[in-house]
This record gives sequence, structure tokens and C-alpha cells, in this order.
Amino acid sequence: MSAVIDKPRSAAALPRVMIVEDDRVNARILAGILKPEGYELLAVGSGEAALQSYAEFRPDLVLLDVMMPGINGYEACRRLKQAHGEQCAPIVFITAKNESDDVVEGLAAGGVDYLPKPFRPKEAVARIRVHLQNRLLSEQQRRLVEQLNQSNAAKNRLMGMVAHDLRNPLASIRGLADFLRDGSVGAITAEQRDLVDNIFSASQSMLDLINELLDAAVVEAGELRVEIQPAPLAELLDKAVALNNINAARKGTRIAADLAGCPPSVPMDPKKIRQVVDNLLSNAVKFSPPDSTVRLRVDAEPGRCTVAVRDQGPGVPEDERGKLFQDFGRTSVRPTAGEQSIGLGLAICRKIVEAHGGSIAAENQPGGGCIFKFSLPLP
Amino acid sequence: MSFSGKVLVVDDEAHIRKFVSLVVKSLGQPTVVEAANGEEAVQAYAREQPDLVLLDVNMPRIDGLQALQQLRRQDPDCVVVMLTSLVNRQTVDECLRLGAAGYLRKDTPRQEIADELRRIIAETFEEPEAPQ
Repeated sequence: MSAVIDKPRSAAALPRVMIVEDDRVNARILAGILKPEGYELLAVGSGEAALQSYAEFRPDLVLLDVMMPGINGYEACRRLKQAHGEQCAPIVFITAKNESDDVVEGLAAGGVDYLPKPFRPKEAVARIRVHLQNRLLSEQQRRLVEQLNQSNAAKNRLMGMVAHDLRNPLASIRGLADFLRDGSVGAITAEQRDLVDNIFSASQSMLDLINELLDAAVVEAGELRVEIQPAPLAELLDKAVALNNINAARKGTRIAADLAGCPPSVPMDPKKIRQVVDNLLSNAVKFSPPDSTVRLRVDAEPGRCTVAVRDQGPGVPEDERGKLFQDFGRTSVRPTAGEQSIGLGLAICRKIVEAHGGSIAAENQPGGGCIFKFSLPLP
Repeated sequence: MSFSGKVLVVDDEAHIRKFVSLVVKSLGQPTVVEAANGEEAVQAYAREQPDLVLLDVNMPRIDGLQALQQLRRQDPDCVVVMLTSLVNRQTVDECLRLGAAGYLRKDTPRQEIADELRRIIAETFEEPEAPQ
């Protein structure tokens, strides 16, 4: 079934035009011109009356005289815009002919057009049609955007639920396979070990995909929160390097860390920064040729601490660099051992680092390979 | 550190109990008993008097938070570590406020779970007596 788009009122009902004019003769002439168009009309005699009747009549267009007793047309226009914001009906000023100052001031006050007096029926009708049409289209667009936002939020909720329910069993499959393959629950043959390794790595990569999706849903829903507190960065990096080295070792890749320049404590959300570091390290390993070395290095300068991860992979093509930190921004570069990614990892990293007030970037090395670095502000 | 206490693992999903039990056993020679829901957990606690309870947050009927409160009422000194999947800061804070000793994410690699458990056990059971 296709989505039912609730019809804008103005498409189902007659377009409503409010005429604000203190001169009854002029008001009657305008009404006479517009009647054959089939509009529903309301004529009021002052700016104050227009402000009062607007909410009840809900016009699709307002024809507004400039010179009126009480508040003038410009003021009435400003107040209508203030009260109803972007959803305010388009306002067309009624001006005396050749008064170009009126035209300018009217447009400045938020009017979309003007009708010069005396009215020329065909011109008046043509202009009003155009503005009503625009109003209809922008109204439809607003509704569509609103619906898209709702659908998107629903999709994120669904994705969160699905991912959540898949995650626990997957984590168990990975964990149990891990126990089987290291022989801690009994010896297994080389062939069995190979099968278990497959179960382990398949569940591992599926878990990574799901975690990426979940993180993306959280970020997209605007729920990324960082809790920044001074924390030992070197210790965090040490752990991350140790753990990622286990995966790296399977490819014959090694991660070497130079933490000599690391400040003792850096204000950050340790769990989130760990996620960034894990992402950069696992990417570096993914895209590195077997038997290469990934180097992690920390440098501090006044006000800033930078963590750089350098790989010996193919680098990122110049014209694709912009894609790196975008959602689903996979480049043409492929992992060297068939690892998977949906291309959200770096986008999430960027959002985490930016939430810390820091920055993240990638640059190719002249001698080959790529450096990914992120900086965090130091007090 | 080799841990040889008695641990009660509570989760409504059998595969999680299996996995977490294996992680606990990898810490030394502990005795592991399992419970599949909050009610069983409260009964098993009274019967087995474990040193440590690993308690799932998200369970049908009596959830982890309620079970935690019942256990703490039954034994104010009982040591409970919560098992979570997604970290919901509010739930975690609530558990810590209700007396949980910490929390573990079941979807993290087993080395990380083991490390965190070791840390919690060291903090809880092997703290040197403070000088009077």
C-alpha cells in the first residue's frame, strides 16, 4: 500500500483569500474580480481586524492595503509574519500606482508581491493564481518533509529494535566460537578449528555491521551524548592497540604505538574516543597489505592533542577524500582480506570527535599509505 | 589472580548464560550456578549463597532492576554486577544507585568482559583492610 498523503486543505477546499482594505469600494471591486475564480473570500476593514480574523479564516493568501487607519499594512504584515512564522499565507500589498517606495517597503516587510490600484482584473487574477499555486506547493512540500521525518524516525526505531535483538545472539555465537577455537573447552582438530574460525569471523563482522547501524541510528536521532572528563589517553590507546593487534596478527599485520608524546590526561568521553581509535585501527588493518605495520602516534602541542594512525595501504584517491567522513561514504578502495563495512564508521567518528570540539582528517602519504588523525582540545 | 568463589549468572537467554559462564570460569576455578529469570535468581541466591551475581538488566516479568532490589533487600551485602547489551546511561546509573557493583556489556569481546570482571572482583573482594 502506498503512503496516504493527507491532502492540504487548500487542495480539497476552495482557496481562501482575505482582503484587508478600509475603502469599501475598492474591496468590493477586488471581490468582484476574484469571485469568478471560485475563491472563498473574506473582506475586513483594518489591520487589527486582519490579525484577529486570520487564525479563524486561515487564508491561503492575504491582499493587504497599505494606508489604513490604525496600524498600517506594513505593520500588519510584520505582525502576521511574527505570529504565524514560515507557515504564514503569502501577503500581496495593494498599492497606489507608481508609488515605488511603497512597493519596496512592502516587500521588505515580508510581502511577496503588490497589486497596483486601480486594479486591472486580468493582471490581478494572474498574480493571485501564481501565489496561491506557490502556497499550495510549499504547503505540500512542508507536509512531505514532515512525513519523511516521521518515517525516518520510525525507520531508526525499527532498525534499533532489530539490531538490538540480533546483537545478543550474535555476540554469543562469536563468544562461544572463541572458547571453542582456543581449545579452552577441549582440544579440536585443525579442520574443526578452521570451521570454528569461520564462525567466529563471520559473526564478528556481522556484529560490527550491526553496531555501526545502531551507532548511526543513535547519531541520526540526535542522541549522541558525550560525557567529557579528564581520562588517561595512553592507557586507553594501549588497550585498543593490544586488542586490535589480535585481529591484525591474523593478517600478519602489526600495530606499533608510540605513546611517548601522550599527555597524562586528556578531557574526553573515554568510551566514545575508544570507539574512534578502534575504528581507525581496524580500518588501517583492513586496508593494509599483509605483513605491514600500522603506526599509531600521539603528539601534544599547546591546546591540542593529536592521535595519528598511519597505514601502508593504497591511500585514498584524491577525488574520493570528501566521501570518507560522510554517511555510507564508501570509497573505491577495498579491504585486503574481504572484510566488510557499510561505510558509517568514519562518519560516526567525525561526529564523536566534533562533539568533543575536535577535528578529524585524512591525508595520503607521499611514500604511500594514509594517515588518519584526530585532535582533541587540551585545557 | 585466580578466582574460586561461587557465581550466580542470571539471564533469560541460555546462550548468554553459557557464554558468560565460560568467561567466569576462565577467571580461575569458580563454581557457576545459573538462573533464567528474576524469580529463579532470588531463589537461587537464598539456596546457593553465591559470592557474586551477574544479573541481566532486560528480562521479562521481574526485570534486572527489580531483581537487584529484591536481592539487596534479602542480603544488603550481596555483590551484583549488571549485564547489559546497549548501554543506557540512565538504567546503568539507576542500577549503581540501587547498589550494583558495576556493569558488563555482554556484546563486548570476552577478553574485555574478563578484564572488567577481574577489576570488579579485585575491588570488591581483595581490597586491603583500611587502617583503623
